[in-house]
Amino acid sequence: MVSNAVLLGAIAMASLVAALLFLRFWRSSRDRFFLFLAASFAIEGVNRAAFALAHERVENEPVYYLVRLCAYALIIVAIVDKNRARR
Amino acid sequence: MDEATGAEVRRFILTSIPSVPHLETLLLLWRERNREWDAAGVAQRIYVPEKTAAAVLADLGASGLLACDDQLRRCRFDATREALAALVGRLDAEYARDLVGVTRLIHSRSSRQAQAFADAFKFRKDTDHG
Repeated sequence: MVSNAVLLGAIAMASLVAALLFLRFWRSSRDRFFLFLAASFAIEGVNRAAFALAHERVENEPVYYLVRLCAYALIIVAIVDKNRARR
Repeated sequence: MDEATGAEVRRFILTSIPSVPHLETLLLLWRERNREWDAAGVAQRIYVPEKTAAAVLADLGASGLLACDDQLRRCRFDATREALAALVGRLDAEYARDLVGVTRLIHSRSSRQAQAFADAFKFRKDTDHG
């Protein structure tokens, strides 16, 4: 499934670009919110790339979903942290 | 300056200081907070046209950083707002220490937009720094 691999590659690249953008925003603002988001998108990008490059792509392999869950959980952590952070 | 204080000052700059004349005016009124200022006085001290000084005073008055009269023409720094005064004090120190860095931060449009994006995730909005 070449088209699937291309799509997965595109998603991985987009996620990694988003991670770099958030990292840049973190560098300029020092707001931890951006660091969490950068980590989340980086994990998501690597996860998609790993899935695309896997020899046997088994879509319902739980490990991919667990990693994705961690990435999404980081977004929730970012929002909670943003609201708990000292003014 | 520790990281938390630095982050607070940076956030204040990105969310509340749109230009260098705004910063200079706020610092001037903070330093000389025992008197009231009009556009002519501010213009003379920070070397900008009187019209610019009037617009800056009106902006800072409208955003609540300065206490102004109803027409936003005469303003003073409200020294009873201790938290804001302390924050502006830290900003003053940071500006003296790293003038170029603070100026760059003020002119950084993408950082400003990014900060607005991050602040959009706050459930409770800060309307008053005091």
